[in-house]
Amino acid sequence: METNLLQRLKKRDEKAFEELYNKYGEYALRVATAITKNHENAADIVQETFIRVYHYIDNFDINKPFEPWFYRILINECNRSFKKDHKNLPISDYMDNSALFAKEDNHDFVEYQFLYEAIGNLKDIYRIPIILKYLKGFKEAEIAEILEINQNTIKSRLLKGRQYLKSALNNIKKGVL
Amino acid sequence: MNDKFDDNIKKALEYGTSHVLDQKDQVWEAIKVRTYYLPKGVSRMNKKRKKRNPFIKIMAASTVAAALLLTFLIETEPGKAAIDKIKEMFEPQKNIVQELEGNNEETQVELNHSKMGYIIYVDKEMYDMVKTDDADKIVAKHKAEGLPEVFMEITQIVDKDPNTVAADIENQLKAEFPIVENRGQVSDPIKGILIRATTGHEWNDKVVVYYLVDNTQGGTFLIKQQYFMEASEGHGARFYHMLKEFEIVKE
Repeated sequence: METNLLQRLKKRDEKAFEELYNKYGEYALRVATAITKNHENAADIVQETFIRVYHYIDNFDINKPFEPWFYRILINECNRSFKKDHKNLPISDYMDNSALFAKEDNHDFVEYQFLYEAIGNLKDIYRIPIILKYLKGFKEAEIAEILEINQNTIKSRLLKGRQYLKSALNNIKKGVL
Repeated sequence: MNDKFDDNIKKALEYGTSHVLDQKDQVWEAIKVRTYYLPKGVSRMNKKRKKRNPFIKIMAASTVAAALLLTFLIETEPGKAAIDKIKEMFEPQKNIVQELEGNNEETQVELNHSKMGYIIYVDKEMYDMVKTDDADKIVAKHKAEGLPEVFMEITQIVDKDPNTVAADIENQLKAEFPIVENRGQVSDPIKGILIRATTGHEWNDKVVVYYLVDNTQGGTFLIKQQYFMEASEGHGARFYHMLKEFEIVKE
C-alpha cells in the first residue's frame, strides 16, 4: 500500500502527496511540537519536511521503510530550527498556551502536565529518543537509524531518560501535590 | 517496561501536543501552495541572502562582456558582420547551478532575445514567455485559484527617463496599494530604480516590484514583477536570478 503511494509520489501525483500528508502530518506535527516546544516553529518544520520529501523523493529507495527516512528529515529540520532560533518558549508558557491543558482539571491531567513538563526539561539526548519512542512508537533500532546513533546508546538513553522522568515527577509531586 | 508509567509518558506527550489537530489543515494549505510555487531547495526558514555560486558569477561576467562587445561592434559595418558570431557567445541554453541551503540545484535556462533590444535567460521549466507587440511577459506555468497572477513583464517607454517614469509609477501604485516603497537607485540584481508595493503582510497578499532601467537611449525598460507574499522566496528568488542575466543589446 505504502509502496504504491510512494511510487505515485515519485511521479509527482498531487493526490498521493495529500494522502501522504494525511497519513504522516499529524504525528509529524506532534513530534516537532514536543521537540521544539513551540507550535509555530513546529508548523514551519513540518512544512519544510514535506517540501523536502516532495522534492527529494526520487532519492529515496522505495524498498526501504519510509518512516525512518521521513523522521530523519524532520529531526534535521528541528536541528536547523534550533540553530536558527534558540529562543524557545519556556515549557510553563507553552503549557499556559495549550487550550486542552487550560480546560482539563483532574488528577490524571495534572500528572500528564507534570510529566510533559518533565519531558520538556530533559536534555535533548534523552528527550528526543523518548519522544520518538513514546509518541511515535518507534523501536530502538529505528530510533538509532533516525538519529544515526548506535542502538545500544539509544537503549541506554531511553533507560536513563525514563529514570530521570520518574525521579523528576516524584520531586515535582513532593513539592507541589 | 511497558507498565503504567510508560502509558503515562505516551499519554502526557499526546495531551501536550493535542493542539496540533487545529494546525493540521493550515499547515497543509501552506505546503500545497509552496509545492506549486517554491523552486527546489528554497526554504522559508532560510531567510538569509543566498550565496551566489561562483559558476553563475563567471557566466554573468561573460554575458556582460559579450553584451558590451556587441554594443560596441554594431556601430560599425565590420561590427555588424560580426554580430551573428558574437551572438553565439550567448548560449541558447545553459545550465546554471545555484547553491540553495547548502544544496546545489541545477536549472536549465533558455536565452530569450527580445526585439526591444535586450537578452534574458528564462527558466522554461517554471515559466512561459508570452510575447505581444509591446510586452514580453514571463508567466508562471502553475496557476493557483484565488491567488494573484505570477509574472514578470518587460515593456519599454521610449520617451521618458527612469526618474520621470518612477514618479508616475509611484503615484499609480499609491492609488492602488496601502504599502508603497520607493527604494531609489539599486544595483542588484540590476542597475535601476526599485519601487515595491504590497497589499499587506499575509501569505496571500499581492506583491508588485518594479525595476526602472535606463535603456541608454533616453527611455526606460519597465520591468514589473508580480507574485504573492508566500512566493517571495520562490518566484521572487527566480525572478531575481533571471534579472541578473538581463542585458541590453542594441540592434
